[in-house]
Amino acid sequence: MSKNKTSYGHIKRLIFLAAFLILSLVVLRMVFIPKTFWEFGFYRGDSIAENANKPIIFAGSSACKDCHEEKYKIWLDFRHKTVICETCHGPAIKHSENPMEIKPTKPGKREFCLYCHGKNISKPKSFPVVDGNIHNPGINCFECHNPHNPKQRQK
Amino acid sequence: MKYSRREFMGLSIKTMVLLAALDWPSKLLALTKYNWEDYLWGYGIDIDRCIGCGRCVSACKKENNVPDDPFFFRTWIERYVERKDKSGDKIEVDSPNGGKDGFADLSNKKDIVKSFFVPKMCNHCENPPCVQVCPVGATYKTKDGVVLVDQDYCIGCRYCIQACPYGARYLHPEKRVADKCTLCYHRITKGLKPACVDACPVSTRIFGNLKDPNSIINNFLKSKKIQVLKPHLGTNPKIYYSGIDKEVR
Repeated sequence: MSKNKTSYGHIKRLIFLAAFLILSLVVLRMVFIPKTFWEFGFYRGDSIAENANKPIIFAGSSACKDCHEEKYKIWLDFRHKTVICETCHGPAIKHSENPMEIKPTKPGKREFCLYCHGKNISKPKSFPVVDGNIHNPGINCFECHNPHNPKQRQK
Repeated sequence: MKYSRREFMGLSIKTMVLLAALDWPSKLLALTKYNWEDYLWGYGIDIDRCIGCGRCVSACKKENNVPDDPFFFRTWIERYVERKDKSGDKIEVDSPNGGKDGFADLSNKKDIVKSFFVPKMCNHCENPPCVQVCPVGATYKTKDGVVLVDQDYCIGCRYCIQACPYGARYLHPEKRVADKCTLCYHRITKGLKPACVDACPVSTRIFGNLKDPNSIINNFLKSKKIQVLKPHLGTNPKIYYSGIDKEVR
């Protein structure tokens, strides 16, 4: 056997195999790693926009002002001004988009007022509270107190 | 074969271009007006004001579609009661339905030293343990300092739920992915406040931009004595408490 006849076929095959494996790794990475993955760091850059584009449910009191300006001004003048409209009336973005058909809920129940104003030893001492068991039980609060102007007594 | 090779290649390229084009609007919408380099969100909680009414918990659940069961919360309220005991003072902590329906007054008022409410939520740590442990990069800290979850990429392995020292995460029962407070990222990027801050009737919850020296949160930090939860862990939270005691964990 002369030296010229030495076969390199097995080495070529090995090189092809290695090249194929590396190439498939690169292709698989391209397929499986999302396009924006390293955009800002070790996460999908698109996910920020997805989080930012979720629907808003609470519109905020300034949205109520456009239509209910009279009520808005009364509310701003009195002690409940730190309580935004939707804390009591429920989320209202749908109502602001479609004011005629979708109406916000009306809180009227006594228990709702007592969430804040029920007597509780853990509350700060300066906060105005009543004992729900003694203070006219069974009567709805709004029959005596105007919720938008809590100091005014209703008839 | 329905398509020739040339047609197939052409169609693939057109589809790719179309997909790339469809991807653009969502990104532009969120990030054009809002430049996250200008913001670093901070959050203050003033314990001396909290009345435990639970309006924040209720608002959070409505705003973020959190399941109504009494063990899924993005924010919740705890009641701390310290009682005098023979062997020293004893601490009781309870949180009926996360405080969503308010708190009934304590029936046994004997020996109470003090009692107060502590609202809790994700602390949006500068150095978040939950992000370190995520194996797939589905949770991350944004440049404006909010820790978010990529719910399309999360595999639901619950490592982050275990890693959070504040217990702020839960596994969403329907989506089967980790869920947590996002500081209402969909609201704050549009100039609104988080729903819990808006809903709070006594301004216990304070929210603002730490990079703006005149913001409400910076005034809060200057005027109050501030503590954070579990400072020894080095997580560097951005939820700042005023008026909490050493017992609060």
